[in-house]
Amino acid sequence: MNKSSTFLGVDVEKHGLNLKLRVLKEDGSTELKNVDLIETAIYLLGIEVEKIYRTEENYFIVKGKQNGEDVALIFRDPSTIDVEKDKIIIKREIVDNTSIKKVYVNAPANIEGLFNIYDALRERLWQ
Amino acid sequence: MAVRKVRKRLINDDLSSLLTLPRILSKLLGFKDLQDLLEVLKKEAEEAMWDDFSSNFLRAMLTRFEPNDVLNEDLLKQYDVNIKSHFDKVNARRNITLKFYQYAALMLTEIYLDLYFKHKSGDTLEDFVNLLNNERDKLNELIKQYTEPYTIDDVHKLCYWMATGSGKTLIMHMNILQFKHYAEKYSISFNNIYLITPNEDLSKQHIKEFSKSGIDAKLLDKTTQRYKRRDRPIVYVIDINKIKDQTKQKTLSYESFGKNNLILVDEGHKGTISGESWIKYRQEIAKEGFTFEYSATFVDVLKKDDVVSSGEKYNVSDYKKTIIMDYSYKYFHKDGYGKDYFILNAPKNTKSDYLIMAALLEYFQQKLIYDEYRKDAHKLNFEDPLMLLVGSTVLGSKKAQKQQEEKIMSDIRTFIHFLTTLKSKKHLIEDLLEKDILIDGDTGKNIVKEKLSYLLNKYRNNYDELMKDMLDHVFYTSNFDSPLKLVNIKDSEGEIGLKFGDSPHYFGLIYIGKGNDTELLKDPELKPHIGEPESMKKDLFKSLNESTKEKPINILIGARKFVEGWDNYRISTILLMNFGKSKGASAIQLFGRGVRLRGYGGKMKRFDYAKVNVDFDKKDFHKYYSILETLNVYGINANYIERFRKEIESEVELRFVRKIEVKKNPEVMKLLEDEELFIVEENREKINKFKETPLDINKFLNHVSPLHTIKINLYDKISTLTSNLEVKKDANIKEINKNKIINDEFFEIVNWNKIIKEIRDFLRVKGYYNVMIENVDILKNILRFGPFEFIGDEREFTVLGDPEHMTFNKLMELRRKLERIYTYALIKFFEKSHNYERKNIKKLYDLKTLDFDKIPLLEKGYYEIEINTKFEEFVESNKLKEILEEIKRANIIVDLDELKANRNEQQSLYTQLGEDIGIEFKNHMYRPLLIQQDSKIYSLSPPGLNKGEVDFVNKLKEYLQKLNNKNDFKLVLLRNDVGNFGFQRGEYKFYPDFIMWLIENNKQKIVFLDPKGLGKNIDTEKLALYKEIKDIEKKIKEESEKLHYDIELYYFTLSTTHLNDISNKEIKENPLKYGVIDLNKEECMQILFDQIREK
Repeated sequence: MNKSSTFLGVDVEKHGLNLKLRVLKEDGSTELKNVDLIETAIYLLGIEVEKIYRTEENYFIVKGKQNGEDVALIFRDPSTIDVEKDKIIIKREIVDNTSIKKVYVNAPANIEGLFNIYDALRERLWQ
Repeated sequence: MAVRKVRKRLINDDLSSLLTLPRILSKLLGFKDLQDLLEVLKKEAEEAMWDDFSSNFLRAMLTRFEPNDVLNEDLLKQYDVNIKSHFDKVNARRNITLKFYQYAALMLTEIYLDLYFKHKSGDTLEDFVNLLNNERDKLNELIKQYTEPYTIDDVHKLCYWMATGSGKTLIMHMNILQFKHYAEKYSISFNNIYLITPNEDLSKQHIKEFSKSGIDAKLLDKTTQRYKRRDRPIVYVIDINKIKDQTKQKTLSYESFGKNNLILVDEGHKGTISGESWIKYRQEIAKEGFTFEYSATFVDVLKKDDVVSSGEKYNVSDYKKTIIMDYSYKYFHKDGYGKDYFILNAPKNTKSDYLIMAALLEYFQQKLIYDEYRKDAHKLNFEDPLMLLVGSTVLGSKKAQKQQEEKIMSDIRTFIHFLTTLKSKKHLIEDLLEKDILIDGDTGKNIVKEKLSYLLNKYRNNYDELMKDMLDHVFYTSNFDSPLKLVNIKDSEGEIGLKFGDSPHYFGLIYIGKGNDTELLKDPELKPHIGEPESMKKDLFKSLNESTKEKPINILIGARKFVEGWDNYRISTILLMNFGKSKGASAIQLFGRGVRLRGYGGKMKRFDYAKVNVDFDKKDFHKYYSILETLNVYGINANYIERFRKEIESEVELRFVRKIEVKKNPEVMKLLEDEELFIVEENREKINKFKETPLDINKFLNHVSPLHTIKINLYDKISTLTSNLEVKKDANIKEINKNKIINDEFFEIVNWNKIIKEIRDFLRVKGYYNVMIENVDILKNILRFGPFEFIGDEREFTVLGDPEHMTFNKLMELRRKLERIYTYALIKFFEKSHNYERKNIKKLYDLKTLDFDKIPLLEKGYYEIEINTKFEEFVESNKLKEILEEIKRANIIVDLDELKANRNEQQSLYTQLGEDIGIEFKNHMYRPLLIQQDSKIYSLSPPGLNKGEVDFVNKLKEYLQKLNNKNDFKLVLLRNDVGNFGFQRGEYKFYPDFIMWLIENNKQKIVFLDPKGLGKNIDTEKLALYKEIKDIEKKIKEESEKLHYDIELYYFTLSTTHLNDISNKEIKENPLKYGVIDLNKEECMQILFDQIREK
């Protein structure tokens, strides 16, 4: 079960935005389908979206509300992260905006207090 | 101070002092009472943290705990783990932390429920009652005199008295899981879970909260299918108004609830049915079951009005026995939680115009500060201020309700009328500021003027400018002449928007419920102000919570009923009109809503209590943030709020706080005339840089790891925490080959998602953001190649190799066990490698000149001494009186001291107070040096010296006297308070109790000393400082050479435990190898000085 991407297994985290899930068809067979990770996250985490945009560095950023609080989601390709630049971009986009109470990232960043998107998604799925 | 008066008050009024259950349970845990327990937990930490698979709070409790007939250490560990596992469930989607008082509430509940169910399952509840009564007998006479013994009817209920905003709801959710846990453990079945609320809005709010906690909940009406589920609890929520004798259209008969239920009651005394019937219904549906009741206000308010009016049946004596937790507003506020408050109840004859204007100005001031310091305000998590105008309450019979609704309407009309004529109201401001309209009864000062310092500074006497800015910031208009408009909001029930002229932004909202809105708009007087109805994208009421919205609604006008259960952190000024005497609970509820505070870092605390340094963009914000964290309540004829204020403030009166001035010791100053003292301190920038650099994990893997080994004792750490607590002491416990535990086969079994989440949570909470875990492969590699060593029973891990005996359950048990082990091993690995790197930061320590004025106590300038007037001591000894007198004298002396500080007066202070109170020591950096008494009759802040510390100072004093000034060194001692000079020891910062400087020739020796007991739990991290301090010494060598000074550093543990009684053999035999000196030895000071002086 860990290796399959069907259940948002841990290997999924390596793939960035190209999330492929094995989906059960009516006849009982399965098929590999592309899934929009951003849409999935927004839906499962219950984000009321206020703004979605892409930065010039190819960071996808979602800003909105979760349980009435300002939150942000940050997606970028885990394989190309430059830790120093990453810090600068995230701080520029999010951290300096102090009304945001919670920030989710799809891969770790060298910044205090961030939450992992996948951890949050799995909880939503399995709760 | 009139002592008799205090006593009377305590006995008659202070129910908080007569609660039996918190005392009984706290005593079982080894504490004097609940407050004592809370103090110890609070000192440990603000929030619970389960690092070593037990919480910081458990460890703090164990320092006082002694096993007894009821409790043992293993049980407490189990309770601690239970709390953690329930909390993880509830918190999965929330991400909050457990505060110390919440932990205490849950721990006491664990103890109680375990005992309750154990007896219930054995059909021996009578014994449980006896047990409680036996423990009750051990309490003081007063409690026995003013409370009644437990009977079998008392034990099926627990009540939680907790301030609004302190997280009652979380406790409720946890209680459900706790209850379920014990019911299952002891195979006791119960029917359904019901939550009874005061009204439907609150019911809905609760359902939302349950969903956040992952607990299923449903609104109950007569169509609801009620069924019981084994796997997941489901909570049926109903408001008390819907429970009647018979099931009808909108009501359910109490009989339909059946018996043997778990009943949860939120703010139970606020049912809207008059008379006794609601009590009857509640009692009926709780029959044969169990009840948890929660309230912020129940005792203090209830006992006076509601209870008496609704019948004696439901009396206070029940609460004395069933309240298990008392963390009401007075404690909450005292601990720094929630906003500060200012309450002004204007006398009846005050013109309402003045009061409205005063409230408006107060609000404008908050709004203006928020607007001008927005960025800084956000740093402290402040929200855009909101003013609330509330009319009298809607309660009671239909006729009364009708009358009251009319009253509200008239209150609202008054306010609206005020707004329509705002233009002509400027003179009110002038009057308020210049004519002393509202003056403080005690001081005679103009209250408005005192409170509006920011506005006065900014505008001086320029009221035109002030008025203009108020229009702009509060009313979103720049035009005095534009008329006020009331706009009916289409499609949203009962909403009327308020704006001026053609302003695109509504500044206000009238929210008074369906029907009332159309009623109001029919008012002929308002006719010229009615605008065209408008459609909005969103309800205005809902938009109130959007904190980041530009130009949000500033003023909310309505009836109080909507405020219950309404989560909004914006409320900053409340204007109460005609708030009667009898509906006190509602006023307090409102107050409770208003004092909620997110606080810095979401910690709900006022900034002064958050103890953090924040760089403000605009420096002078530090002068004004307190204005934003104050709730202002203005009322006319709001008798209740007045009484409430007295209630809170009388608590303060009981606390007898005095200041004792602290000054630099002139003798020490003289001694140091031509010397400087040095101190070592961690360099913050270096630490920040360290945190900003990702940690190289590979360095710590395989045989060259600088960590040596990470020993994991599975027997201790894991076994007791998985399935059972039976301690198996046998010979099979030994070192296990690592491959038996870490192997690819097992890697297939465990749920890595769970492990990686635990790890990431750990790293986040600890602030180890330089440890970056990209994916599970890293974790697997750490386990494979990390220097782990396991000790335990190997047979526990051979299930897979023995397929015959493998069952699904066994496999799942193994899986859980492995997950725990892996998580634990990984956490230890990250902790150790992080700490290793931190310790080895280059040039981590700076050598600095000691600035006397920056020593916290000297900077503050005084000790605070607080007398606890808890009635126990009060009754049981005359000591309190003595102490009060002593303090009174001390205070006079300190006053004199201000006039002229000289040694004789200082001396006389000690003579008068007796040796108990302080120590006179000419080599100590400041004076007085006060002592903390064991009796806890008074407490000092910062804490006074404890017994071991006093012993040390006296011995040092003696030693120096013996040398009789023949010494050729200079010596200065400093009591080192927490927060002064410390060393990072793994996870926490350690502050040795004393720092001693010894200047000899051209050498300065900085000696850190820590008198402490070395009982069963020896903190080896602290002892290790003895050696490590020499590494630090080397690191600062270069700097000290630059100063042409030879600096030496030392650390010693001064054991108050007799060497013979130390259980650790190595320390016992060779104490100096560990820097341990037995303080009980006659020659201990000689030993110390031999170590540090020239050999």
